[in-house]
Amino acid sequence: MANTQEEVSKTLTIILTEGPYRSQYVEMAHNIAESAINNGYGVNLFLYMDATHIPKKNQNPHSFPNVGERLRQLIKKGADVRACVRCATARGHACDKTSYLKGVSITSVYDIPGWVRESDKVITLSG
Amino acid sequence: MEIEELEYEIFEEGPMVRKVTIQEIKPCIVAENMIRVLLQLDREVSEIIPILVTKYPPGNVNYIENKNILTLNIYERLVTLYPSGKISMNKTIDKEDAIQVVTGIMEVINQLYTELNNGDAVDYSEMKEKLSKIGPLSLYNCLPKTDCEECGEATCMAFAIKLLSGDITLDKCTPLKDGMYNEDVSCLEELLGHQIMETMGWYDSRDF
Amino acid sequence: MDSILIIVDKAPYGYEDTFSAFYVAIACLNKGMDADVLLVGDGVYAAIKDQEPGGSIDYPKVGELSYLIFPEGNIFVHLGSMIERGVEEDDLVEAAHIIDDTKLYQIIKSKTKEKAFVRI
Repeated sequence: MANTQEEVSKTLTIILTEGPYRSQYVEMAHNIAESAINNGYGVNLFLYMDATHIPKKNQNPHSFPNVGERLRQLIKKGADVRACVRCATARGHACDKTSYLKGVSITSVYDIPGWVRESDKVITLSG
Repeated sequence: MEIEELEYEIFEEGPMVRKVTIQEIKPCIVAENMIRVLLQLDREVSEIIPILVTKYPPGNVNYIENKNILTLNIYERLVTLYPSGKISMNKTIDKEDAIQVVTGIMEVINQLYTELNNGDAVDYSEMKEKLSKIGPLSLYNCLPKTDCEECGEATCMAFAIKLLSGDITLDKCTPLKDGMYNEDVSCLEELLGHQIMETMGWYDSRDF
Repeated sequence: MDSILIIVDKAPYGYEDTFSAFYVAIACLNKGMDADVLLVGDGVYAAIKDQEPGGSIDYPKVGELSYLIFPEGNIFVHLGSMIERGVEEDDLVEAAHIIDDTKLYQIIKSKTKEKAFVRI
């Protein structure tokens, strides 16, 4: 109880622009997010451009870790995950409401400034 | 939104600018439910911009000298003039509102063009040094500093600040205008110079 | 964090990134956040004027987006990158603000604590 006033929760925002499997950026984002959550950070993850492929349901990679599964775990642990509507629509994900994993909101880039404001750190993982 | 370019003829016989074209309309980035408009005048205006700088209250002017780009805080919005004749403005209601505003600006441009050709225009470079020294404090120092409130403001400092942004004119200071503080008038003439004093509304029937 | 610098190092049209980066800047300005764009490396090509991406590509014009950002936000174009690529000031849109390494250092150094750097 003694230190609660000093333990102000910090927030990390990650902006991800890369699609899954082709590069390791998604895995890196997951690792950083998970580590941050385990250290008591609030984590926001914004999926931009090709990263809007990540939350697609029913992924079944043979030689790689399942990116959708890992994202589901992050959401369970409290990460706030949002995807860009323009990018998701372009890639065919926004039209069909059942395309995405549960817990991922399709919003817009207009959420980024609000997140930047409330964050202690902002990192972009971009190829 | 993609729109066809719309051309408007504003001044059929304008000495410098006659027509303007609306090139782009996009949602305004700083005000909801308003638009941002990009227009193109029918000719480039690089020679007029340095003169235009001197015609507006210093507090409403942002001039990037090395690019000759002028941003004015007028008509309750930011209007940016580029040497190519492009004009952008935010916080606009609709295209009719944009045309109304740009008509006012084209009028001033044409007027200044005439003055320029008559040798009457004052260029920014002549006033640059003066403009850099004008601020609320230097203005305040040239006012009566009595806080008499005859201008409608509570203090002379408030008057100085409003003067800079063009929200009040210099002739509203009746003690100054009535010749009670001639030293202060000289101080203002020294600080501002004739052109800026005129922009601030000092000369009316006393034009020479 | 109360301001943002969006860094672009890819040329437009070949990658969607440049266009998308400008959109992030516009979104931030829309929400009242101080936002500037830094074009470095191949990103300087985004500021070339009179782009006409019609035809088979048919992307929106990236150069025109600079008129949506300026004057509320700045479009900084890195001088060293321009020189490397033979790009000259006259080639650029009017709103572009050319900066050298000294100015770049100052921008990065000033208020680093409150400025978010986002490279897309």
